Amino acid sequence: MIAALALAGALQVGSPAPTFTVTSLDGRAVSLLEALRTHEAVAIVFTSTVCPYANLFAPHLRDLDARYGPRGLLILAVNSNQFETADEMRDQAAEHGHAFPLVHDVGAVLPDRLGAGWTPEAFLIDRLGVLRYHGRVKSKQGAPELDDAIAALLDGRPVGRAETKPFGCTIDRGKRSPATP
Amino acid sequence: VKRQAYDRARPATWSKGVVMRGRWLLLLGLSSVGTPSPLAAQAWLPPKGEVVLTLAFQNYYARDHITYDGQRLDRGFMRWNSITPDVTYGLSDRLAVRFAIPWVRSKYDGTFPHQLADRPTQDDGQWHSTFQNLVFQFRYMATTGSTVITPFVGFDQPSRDYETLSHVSAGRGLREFTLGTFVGRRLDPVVPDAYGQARLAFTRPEAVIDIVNYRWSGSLELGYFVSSSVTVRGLGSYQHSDGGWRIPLDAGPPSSPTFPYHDQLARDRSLLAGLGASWSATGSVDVAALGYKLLWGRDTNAVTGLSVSCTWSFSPAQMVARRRGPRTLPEPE
Repeated sequence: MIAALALAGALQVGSPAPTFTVTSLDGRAVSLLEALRTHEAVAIVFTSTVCPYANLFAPHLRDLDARYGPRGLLILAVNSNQFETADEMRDQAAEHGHAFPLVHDVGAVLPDRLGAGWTPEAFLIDRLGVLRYHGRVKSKQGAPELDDAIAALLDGRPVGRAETKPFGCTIDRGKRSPATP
Repeated sequence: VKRQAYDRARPATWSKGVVMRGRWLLLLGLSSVGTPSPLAAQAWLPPKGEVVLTLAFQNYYARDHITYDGQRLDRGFMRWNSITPDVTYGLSDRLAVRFAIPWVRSKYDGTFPHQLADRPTQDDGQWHSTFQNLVFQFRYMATTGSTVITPFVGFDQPSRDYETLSHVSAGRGLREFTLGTFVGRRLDPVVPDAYGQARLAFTRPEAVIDIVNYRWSGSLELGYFVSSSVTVRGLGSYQHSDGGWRIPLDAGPPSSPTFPYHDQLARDRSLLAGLGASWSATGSVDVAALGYKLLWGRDTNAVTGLSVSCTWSFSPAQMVARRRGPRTLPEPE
């Protein structure tokens, strides 16, 4: 239900992305505005350490970072599941060789800001702060939809399919649990 | 004993088959086992830890029997409904195990029931139901990328000793071993947003009175993503049985000891075509429908069918972790 509500309120492609500042697992402050000043594009990818599709596409994120990082792409991996810990995120990043910033989104603030409901789910923002792609990292048949969108954006071409329906696991915001502080 | 009975009966069948056909064909029935799977895109596997749970409802029916030489004979209205829970689990990102067990409910309305003196009939105009075969399947995605090749091995084990002598039997009641492969490919850039999938399989059922009615089957599925939520698909499937009986030529008259086996041993050859669509209701729930019809057949029934299925994909590990609730979260260093 929460995921459905989040999708209904998801940020629309072509809309300006909300600004935010978060702290990465290595202690650095990551500001979207600052990142857009120094990068051509920012891909915010909601991820998880236990979601099968998030794990399946984790090596693909590493490849995207290696391929498009030198061209000005910043990948920001965000884990908003309240049942996962920073240590689990670090283990996953080490296993897959992730060198991009990882954010442990305590309180699940970013899914509410962007309207994210799933892991994995990607938001690609151009240097003007406008959302250019929202949806899947890949299709179930392996179509590299985020890859295509990044390539188009960095090449200055229109993004072909700018909106795809994400699938995988729902983000657990932890807000329905009585144990939530 | 069965083999001896068959040997005694078969010469009579051969010598009198053509003459007798008109009399005892009225009583012959053919089970329909070649209905297409409601599951789409099986060449692509769920990743490690993912469960894909499908509940499929099928309704299919036939009025005509089709003989070995293509005659269509109206022998009454046959209806089957089935509900199939189907579970696939990703053991790894490349290996998945599947389990299914159809529950079949069927009914025959006609004036040519299978009726042997020492055996109760299911062709009595009433609904009969049973669990059919336990289906186990292992699939291994040997290649990844735009083209995937996914060999599979499958086992069917009848869940119980259900009736197989009926116009509307739930199945053939035989243990089966299947070996085959899927080949799937995204069709972009030639046809953007489309995929194709082929399936080729060889099935060896257990012998019935020392006769193995093995079969080859193949299918081709083309899917097109109308949007990121809606997919339409076209399906063609062909099944070629060999080693079994031509119906009615080889089966023998009802008085023959071989007669009760004709449904299990029918040399079913059939070509079906179907059209369907699926809709991703959410990121983890899909609803699909597929209609299909027999275009050509021999030793089979002229079936038409509709399947509707609902698929829920989920991660048990995430569900368990979620049930634990929020954990103490260390502050970033």
